[in-house]
Amino acid sequence: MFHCLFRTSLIASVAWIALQPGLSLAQDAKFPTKSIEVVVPFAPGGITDVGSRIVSEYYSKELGVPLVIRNQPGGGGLTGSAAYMNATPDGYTILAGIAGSIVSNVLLSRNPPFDPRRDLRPIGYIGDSPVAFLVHKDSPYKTFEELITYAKANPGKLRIGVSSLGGETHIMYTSILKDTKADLRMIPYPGTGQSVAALLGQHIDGLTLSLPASMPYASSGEMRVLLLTRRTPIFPDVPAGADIGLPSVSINFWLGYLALPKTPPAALEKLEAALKRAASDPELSKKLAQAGFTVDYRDSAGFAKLIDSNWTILSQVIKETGMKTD
Amino acid sequence: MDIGSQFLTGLAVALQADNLMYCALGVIAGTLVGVLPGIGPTAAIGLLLPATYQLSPTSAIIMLAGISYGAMYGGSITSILVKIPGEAASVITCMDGYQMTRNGRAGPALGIAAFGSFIAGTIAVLGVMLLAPTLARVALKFGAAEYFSLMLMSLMIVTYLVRGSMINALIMGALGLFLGSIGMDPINGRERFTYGFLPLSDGIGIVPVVIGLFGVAEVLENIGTRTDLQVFKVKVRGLLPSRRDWKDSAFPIARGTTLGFFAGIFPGISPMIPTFLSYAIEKRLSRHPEKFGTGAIEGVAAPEACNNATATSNFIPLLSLGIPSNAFNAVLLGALMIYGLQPGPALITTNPDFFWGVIASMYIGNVMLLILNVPLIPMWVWLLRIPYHVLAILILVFCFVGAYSVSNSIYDVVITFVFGFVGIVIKRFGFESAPLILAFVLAPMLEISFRQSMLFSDGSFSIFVTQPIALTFIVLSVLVLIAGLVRPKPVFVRESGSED
Repeated sequence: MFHCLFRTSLIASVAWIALQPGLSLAQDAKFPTKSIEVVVPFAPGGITDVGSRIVSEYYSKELGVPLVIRNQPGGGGLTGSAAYMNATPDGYTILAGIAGSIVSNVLLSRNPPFDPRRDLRPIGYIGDSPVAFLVHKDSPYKTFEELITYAKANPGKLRIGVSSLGGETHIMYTSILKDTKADLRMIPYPGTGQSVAALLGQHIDGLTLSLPASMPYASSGEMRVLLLTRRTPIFPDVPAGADIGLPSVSINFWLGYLALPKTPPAALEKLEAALKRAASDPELSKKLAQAGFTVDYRDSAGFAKLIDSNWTILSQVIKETGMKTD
Repeated sequence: MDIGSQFLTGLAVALQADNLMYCALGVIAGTLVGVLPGIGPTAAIGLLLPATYQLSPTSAIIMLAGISYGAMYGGSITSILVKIPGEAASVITCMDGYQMTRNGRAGPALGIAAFGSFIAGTIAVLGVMLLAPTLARVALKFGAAEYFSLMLMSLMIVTYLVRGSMINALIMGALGLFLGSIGMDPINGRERFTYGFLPLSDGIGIVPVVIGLFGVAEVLENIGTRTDLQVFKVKVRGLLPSRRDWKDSAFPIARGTTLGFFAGIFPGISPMIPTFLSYAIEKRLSRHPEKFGTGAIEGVAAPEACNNATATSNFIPLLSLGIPSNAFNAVLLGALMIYGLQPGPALITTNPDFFWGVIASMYIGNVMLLILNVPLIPMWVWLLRIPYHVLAILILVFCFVGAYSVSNSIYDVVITFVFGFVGIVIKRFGFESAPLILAFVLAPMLEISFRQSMLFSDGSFSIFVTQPIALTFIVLSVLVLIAGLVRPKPVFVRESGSED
C-alpha cells in the first residue's frame, strides 16, 4: 500500500511536470522541487486534519509537488506547533494553524513556547467554520436567551459540555461566561464523541461543538443549535454571538497556513500565490463546505491581522474569566 | 424480513468486483500494520487516506474498515510470536500466546487466534445487523457515574485474578494509575508531573509503555542468558489447533465474543478492558487456572475473539449515532466527511447501500482474513527459526520504529526503552504487569468520569449509590476486593520456574 500511495503521488508529480512545459526556465527561483510537509498538530480524523487534507489536494495541484500531512498531536496543538519552531526555514515544512493551537493555548500556557505574532509568518487563511451551542431536542429552551434567563435564576444548575480544553469549544463556553455573566457549570469531555453521547443521553444540558460535528445531529433533529460564533447559511435562523449582544462569542474554528519568518521570500511568495489560487477553486469550496468550512481567503497580512485580533479578544476573555489550562 | 433484504442488497454491493478487491487490500494492509508494532490502524489510515480520494465512499470505507479488523488479527501475530503487542487490544494475548510459542505451540496459538477472531467477527457482524439501532440507544443511558463504576469493577476483577498476592497486584494498579495521571489534568487542563517538559503534557503514550514492558523487556532480559539455546528450542508441534484445543476453546470463544460485543457499544471504552476481563473470566472458570500464564489456549482464544467482536461492534455507535468509539473510528468519521457523507443518525436511511454494503463487507472481510491467515501460519512459525541473536535485534528495531511512528516523536522511543527496564524490574521482584497496564490505560477515563460525576453531584458520593447500574458495579468491585484480601485466592498457584 505504501507503494501504491507512493506511486500515486509519483504519477501525479510526473504528470504535472509533463503538463507544465518550460516551467523551470520561466521562473528564477526553482521552489518547490520536492514534496512539502504540512505539520498538522492534531490527530488524524479531527477537523483540522480533515480540513488540511481537503485543502492539500488542491494546494498540491497549484504548487506542483505532493503535500505530505504529518500529524503531530498533543497539548491541544501546542506540542506539534512548538516542535515546528525547530523546522528548517526553507519553505518545505509548513504549519496548519487554528485559534486553539497558535493563539489560545499559547496564551494559556505557563511557559509559552512561542509567540505566533513574532515566531510565525502567515502564508494565508483558508476559511473557517463557526462553533455551535447545542441543546437536546427535548430541552425546554428554544432560544439562547431563554437558557441564560434560566441560568441566571438558577446559578450553577445548567451543565454544559466542552470537548477540547483550551480549544475552540472551551473558548466559546468561556466567552459566553464573560459576556452573559451567567453561572454555568462546565463538564469537560475527553473527545467530541463522548460529549455528543452525553448530550444525546441528556446527561448534560448544553454543549459547545464544532459545526461539522454538529451538523448530523442538527439536521436529523436530535439536537437544536441555539447560538453560533458567526452566522452561517446552513442554519439561517440561528443568531451569532454579536447579534444578541455577546461580542466575545466570535472565535471561529479557522484554518490557515503558516511558515517560519526566516523562510526565503521567493519561497514564501510561491506558497502564498499557490494558496490563493487553490482557495479560489470552486471545487475546493464545495468540498470544504461539505465538511462544514466556508472558504474566506485572506492573504498573509489579512491573516496576521486576524491572529492579532483573536489574540486581543482572548487575552481579555482569559483575564476576565480566569480561564486556565496551564 | 426487511433487514434481511437490506442485508442482501448490501451483500450485492460488497460482492462487486472492485469492492471485493478493496476489501482484500484493506485486510491485507490491516494484517501488515497489525504485525508492525506501533504502526497502528490509525496511522495507517492517515497514510492511506489520500490514495482513496478517487474511490467511491463505499469502496473507500470498505477498505478502511478492513484495515481495522485486519489489524486486530495482525496484532495478535506478534503478540504470540515475539511478545510484542501490535495493538493495545492484543496485550493480554502475550500472556499465554507467547508461552505457547515457547512451548512449541505457536501454530495452534496462531490458528485459534485466527479461527476465534473469525467466529467472533461473524457473530458480531450479525449482532451489528440486528441490534445496531437499539443497542446504540441503550449505551446512551450510561453517564459518568456508570462509566466510572464499570471501569472500577474491571480494574478490581483483573487485579484479583492475576497471579501473586492481591497486595502486589494493587501496588501495580496504583503505579499504573499514577503513570496515567501524568500530563494534562482532564478537568482544568493544568499540567501534572511534567516539569514543564512539553512532550509529557499529553501524558505517556500507551503503545510505548506496552511495547516497552513486553517486547523490549523480553529481549533485554534474554541478553546474556544464552537464550538461543532456550527460548524457542522446543520442537514445533502441530501447526493447527487439535481437537482437544478446539474443545478447550469453544466456550471461551463464545464468552469472549459476547463480552467483546457488548463492550464495543459503549463509546470510549478501550478494547483493552473487555480483553483483560475475558482473560480473567476464563481463568476464573477454568478447571486448571494454574495453567494460565504458562500457555493455556483458552487465554489466547477468549481475548482474541473478544477484541475482534469489540472492533466490530464499535461500528454500532459510529454508524448509527455518528459517535466514534476509538481513535481509529474517529479517522473513519473524518474520512466520511472528506467523501461528503454525513455520518450520524440519518446515515442508515439516507445511504442504505453504503451502510449495508459496509456491514456485509465486514463479513466477507472476515472470511478473507481466515483464508489469508491460516496458510500463512507455517511461514510465521518458520520465522522463529531465525537465530535468536538476530531475531532479538529485529524485534528491538520493530519496537523502536513502532514506538516512534505512533506520533512521530523521539521521546516515545526513550519511554519505550525506559519501560523495557521497568518491565525487567517488575518481573524480577515477582510483580505482574497486567494490572499496571490496565490501570494505566484506564486512568484518564477513570479520573475524568469520577470527576464528572463529582461535578454532576456537587461533590457528593451519593451519585454512585443512587443510580442502580452504578451501584451494582460498585458493590461488585467491593466484593471482589474483599474476596481478594480476606482469604487466599483459589487461582494463583505459582508454577515453579515455568516462566521466570
